[in-house]
Amino acid sequence: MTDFEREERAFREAFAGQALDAPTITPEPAVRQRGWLSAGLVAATVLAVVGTTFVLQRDGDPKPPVPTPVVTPSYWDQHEGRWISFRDIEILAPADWSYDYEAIRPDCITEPPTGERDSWADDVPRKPYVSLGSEGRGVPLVGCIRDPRSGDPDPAFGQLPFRWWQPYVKVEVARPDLGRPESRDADLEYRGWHLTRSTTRGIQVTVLSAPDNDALGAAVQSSLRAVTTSNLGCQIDSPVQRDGFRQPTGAPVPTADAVGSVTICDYDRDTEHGGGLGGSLRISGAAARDLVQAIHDAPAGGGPNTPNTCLHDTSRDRVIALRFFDAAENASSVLAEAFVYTASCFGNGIVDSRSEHQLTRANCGPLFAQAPIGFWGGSAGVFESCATSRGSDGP
Amino acid sequence: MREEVVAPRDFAEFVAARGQALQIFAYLVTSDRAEAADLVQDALERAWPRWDTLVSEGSCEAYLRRSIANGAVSRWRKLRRIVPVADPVRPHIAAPAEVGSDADSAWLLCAELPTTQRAAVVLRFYEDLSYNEIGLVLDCAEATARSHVHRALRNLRERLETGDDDD
Repeated sequence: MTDFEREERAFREAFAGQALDAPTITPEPAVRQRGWLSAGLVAATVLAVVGTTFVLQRDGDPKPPVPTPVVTPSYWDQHEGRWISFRDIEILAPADWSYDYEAIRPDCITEPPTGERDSWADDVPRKPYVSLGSEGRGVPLVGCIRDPRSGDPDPAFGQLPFRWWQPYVKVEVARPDLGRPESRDADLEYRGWHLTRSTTRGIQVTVLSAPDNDALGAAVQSSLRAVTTSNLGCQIDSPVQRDGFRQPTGAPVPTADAVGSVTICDYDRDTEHGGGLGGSLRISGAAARDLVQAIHDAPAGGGPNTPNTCLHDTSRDRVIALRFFDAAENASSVLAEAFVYTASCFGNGIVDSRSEHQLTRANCGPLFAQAPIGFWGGSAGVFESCATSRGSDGP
Repeated sequence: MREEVVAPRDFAEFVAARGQALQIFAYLVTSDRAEAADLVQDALERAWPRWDTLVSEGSCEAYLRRSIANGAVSRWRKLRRIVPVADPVRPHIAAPAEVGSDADSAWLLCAELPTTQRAAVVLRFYEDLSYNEIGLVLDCAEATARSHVHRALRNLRERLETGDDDD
């Protein structure tokens, strides 16, 4: 019951009643070939003129005919894209670009090269990639100072030496307070490479495109949209983001044979710098059913916990929500939800609406097996169960 | 705004399926049958050139509702400019024979609400949108959407309590 229950009911009844008095329209669509689309595609238009008749019958004067629109193919009409979610926005990125992480200390990479193996370059992506903000990722504290040279790119491009450059799309929380050149919005070129960086709704999107793909930056930036549910079915505003340890409502984790896919939604609970949805992935088919079975097979009661090894006044800043979908993989057909706590020394486990399960290698390892969801820290027992991916290997 | 119904790519099919719902929304925002029809027509005309993009983004309904709400606001402001020395002409609402029910009071109050606030109330209590979704439709912050609705509820409470006292 809300404080305004009577008033709400009054508005609802008023609108429901008045809706019956709304005028009706009887559209009678005309059909004509839209020649500028792919052959064989026939679209109906309600507003085009058929002879001299306006097909949308309504009271009032007829409107002038709508001119035939000229459709210019967009970048994404010619290149396959996929939606990338972060916080409450989504953008399109090239479909064949995998998630990866930037080099942890690009400033420490020797430049010019000496001919010997440079371990600081081991984690530099070797192909085009998509990177999401990973605030929990540890950074080695070492001093690397490189003397600037004439011909160096603008500092906004970052400190990665040019010979290591790969095209990328990066999405992260805007941090203008840091005052770094890499944090400011920009539109720059260097040797034919094009950098665009733009901030919208507190989220910064950076695109570095190679000389043969100059239109990519504008295409990515213009694709940005706000959403309330991500394209993989993660809630932008999930109860799991609240502080403490919570239990989801609704149905418990279903049986493995009922599941078609599982979406892994990784949330950052750092409210100081704008927490929210970080990376998300979908596991489908047999891998999804294996994960679900591993949850059911795990010992009951949660853990592993080592409660004497950390402070108990925080419940840490990372948490995962698992959303289970049926075989139709329809984003609206969520069967159940479970929360995965890994970041503290207590309260760890996989929790659904009825029970709690221990973290095991089989039910936790797959959650952190690939970017953009990395295991950045946890107690030793949790590390053994969950840390199996590059994200846990560090630089 | 991710939509519950995937809009048919065919424009006419969408109008056939959703045109009446848009008409109802426009009528609830304006209380004027003719104006509602004009607003829907205008909104559909604006949506037509960008229809494929709207479908691929899943934002057809939000775009059309926003167009209708903005159109209602623009028309009301235009009406004010046309009649600069007189009181702003509010959408006409035929008073019920008796203002007996709470619903009657609510409908009368709607006539006095600013158009954007009225649109927010319709979106909340007829379309059942969340405040976040209302913000996306009306292009305002979620807090602003919440404030619109809350003010309308408070106004109605005052009206209903006054009516109760008179009884």
